[in-house]
Amino acid sequence: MWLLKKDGSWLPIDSSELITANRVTPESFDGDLEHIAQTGQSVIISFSGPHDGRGFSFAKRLKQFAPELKLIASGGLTPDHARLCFQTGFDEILLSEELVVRQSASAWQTAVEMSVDKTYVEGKVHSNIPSIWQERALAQSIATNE
Amino acid sequence: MYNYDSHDQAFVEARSREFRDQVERRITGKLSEDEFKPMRLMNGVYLQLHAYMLRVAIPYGTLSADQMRKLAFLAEKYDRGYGHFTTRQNIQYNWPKLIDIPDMLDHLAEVQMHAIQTSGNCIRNVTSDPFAGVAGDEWIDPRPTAELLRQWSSLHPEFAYLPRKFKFAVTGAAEDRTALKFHDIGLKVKPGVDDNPAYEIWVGGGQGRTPRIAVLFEDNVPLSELLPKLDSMLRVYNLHGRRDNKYKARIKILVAEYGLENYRRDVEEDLALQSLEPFEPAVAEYHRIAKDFEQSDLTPLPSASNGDNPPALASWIKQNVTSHKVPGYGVVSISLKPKGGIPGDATAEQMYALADLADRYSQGELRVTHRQNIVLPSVAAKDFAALHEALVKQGLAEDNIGQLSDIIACPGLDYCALATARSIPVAQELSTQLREREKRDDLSGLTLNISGCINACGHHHAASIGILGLNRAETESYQITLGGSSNDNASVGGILGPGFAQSEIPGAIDRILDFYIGSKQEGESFNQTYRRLGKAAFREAVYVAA
Amino acid sequence: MAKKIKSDLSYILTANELTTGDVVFWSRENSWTDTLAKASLISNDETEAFAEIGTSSERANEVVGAYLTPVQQNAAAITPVELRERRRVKGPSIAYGAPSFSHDLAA
Repeated sequence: MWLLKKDGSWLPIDSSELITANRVTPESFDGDLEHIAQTGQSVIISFSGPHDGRGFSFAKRLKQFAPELKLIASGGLTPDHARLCFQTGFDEILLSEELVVRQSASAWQTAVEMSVDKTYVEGKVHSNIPSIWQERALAQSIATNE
Repeated sequence: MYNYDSHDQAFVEARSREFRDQVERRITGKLSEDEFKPMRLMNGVYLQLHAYMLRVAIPYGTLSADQMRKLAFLAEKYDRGYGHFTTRQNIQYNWPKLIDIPDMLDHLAEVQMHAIQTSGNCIRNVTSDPFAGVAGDEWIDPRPTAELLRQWSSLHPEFAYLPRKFKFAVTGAAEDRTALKFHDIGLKVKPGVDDNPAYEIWVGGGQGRTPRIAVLFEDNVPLSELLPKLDSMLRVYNLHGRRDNKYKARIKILVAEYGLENYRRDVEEDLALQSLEPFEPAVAEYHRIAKDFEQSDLTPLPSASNGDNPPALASWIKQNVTSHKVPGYGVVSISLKPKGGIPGDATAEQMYALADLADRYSQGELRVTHRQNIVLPSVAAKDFAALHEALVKQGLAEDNIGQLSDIIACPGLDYCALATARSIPVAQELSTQLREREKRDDLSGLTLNISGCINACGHHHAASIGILGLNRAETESYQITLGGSSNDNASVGGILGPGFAQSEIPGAIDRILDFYIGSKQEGESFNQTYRRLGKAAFREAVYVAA
Repeated sequence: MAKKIKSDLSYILTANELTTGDVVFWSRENSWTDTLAKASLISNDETEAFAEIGTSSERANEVVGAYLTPVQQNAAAITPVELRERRRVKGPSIAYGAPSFSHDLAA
């Protein structure tokens, strides 16, 4: 198994290290955020596949409810999902050996530096660079103060 | 028009590089087709029946002359010399090679265009009123809101893999020219307080297998609350929309099955949790964008006398020109529905000509309508004759805007991998027949829309006369629906009866029109006559006579 | 990936080329061709083996969406049984791109 972190670092991981993590699938979630927040420091949110975006909204809501939780994405993702994961509140992405080999380790290692790294609403995931709207607002306030 | 700043420009260029990289990884097998498919769809690339298809976004249907020239150039260089304007105000190329598409995107980025989210289960290109900014009945220009939505939704990390596609329409005028109530979310922009707009939010409209008219979600939503609210509306849909059956995955089904009140409550609960920080710049953004849309000064002109116009010109002005908010100007609709032609198609030569005419007569601006026509938004009345003459040379002077022969048709089985029957040949035959009939009968105000399958891309549910092509035992069969409408009193057409063979369609349409014209009362529209007399009367007229 | 298989028909193996999107058929020379007449006719008991050819060609990133479709053959031509497939092998039925306009108004 491999783990990609929000800061772009990348390391092999023994799956036993995650044994204490709480595992949740968005499709079977009963709505009790409090319960998840109480059960542990780490939550693995499993995507049913590369087409199912529920995990993003689930992570966003959970992170807003309990910012201290560490959220880990897993299941059938591609390097192109990394930005989406980190911008919606995930801290780490868990990857199988098979995915990394086929999709190429280099694509995963550079996933947080892919071409589109910020949007109008969300800043870059691995630095303090703000969203496009925030940058414009900043430029505007500097212009006004001058 | 909205003009990109360096951020917008960098954004589309980055997206273009990203897609180039995705194509490369697909070709070398680092991405499987299953993984790549949603990525290419999110960039408007379909695999159709015969070839790939690229759908390019024309945000809220607004184009500059230079952008139109670029579209013509792409048609020539990478396609077969033509493009197809769609009911969502976009353009489709039917024959690009996958390996050429990254280059096409680079060309588009040069003129501030892209193909972002023109397909896929994400927030699609936002549509709007093609007469925005020039219509006399407008409360507020919808384009700044539409552009704000474009920016908010572009590559939105959370809403890239929704249960199903998601379509927004925005209007700010009394007359709805956007089919607002057939959208997943429709926004009506109205004057609010302190120079900020406020919104009516309509939710849960759609066509497809289960047509639904949108319902009012909330009224008087201030600009400052709009995006957080839409974000929560999408989040609840993303979490709870059905994913087990693609025909039940649109938000219309969630709203219908879960109930509007429950949906509203969930949205409010989500809003209460939301961090509003990312949306704080939105109001200032709106006003920054709105500056770009401020009408460049048009000097009012004396209205030109049309008394001595030759009949062809006079008829074209009467049919294709709508009143402009500035005296002495007109909003000119250019029909892409020539007699016997393919609805919405334009050759590269025609696109170049349209760009030149926009430069010469309409401040370099064009619009695409959801009825698959082109609009020159601000033409001085004194230029009508010269413009008409130029359009005649290009085969673009058909005087049938708003007539029955102004047919909407999807690409159908001539192109589409999902279609069950052809649409275009039916439209071609009917437009030939109806252009003749329109010389005798007044068929303005009636609409005829044709879809080649139940997905209803040809808006057949929303037409006075709708035609739906089906596959019956490996033969094309066409079902007729009557009484639909996409305006403010939106309604879904009802199925008239058993299907027809393609060869029987012209006769059936003639009998419907004969019966309507013979039965209508003074001032009655087709749908009014249909509702007064009922389906059975029309059915008898159409089938008994057959 | 095979569509409904009926016992009394022949089949062809078809797909779209990955990089161009072109419609292609598996030929008697054991390669992809864009000419329907060269397509290999597959009998009912060969369908599984040919389906496997399609799958492995997909995996090799040569084609996408490979499938078998039933056809009828006479001396003149191979004709798919299904409406959609008949259209797919023929191309659009309309004179696209070329101007098909009436110039009534100019007259």
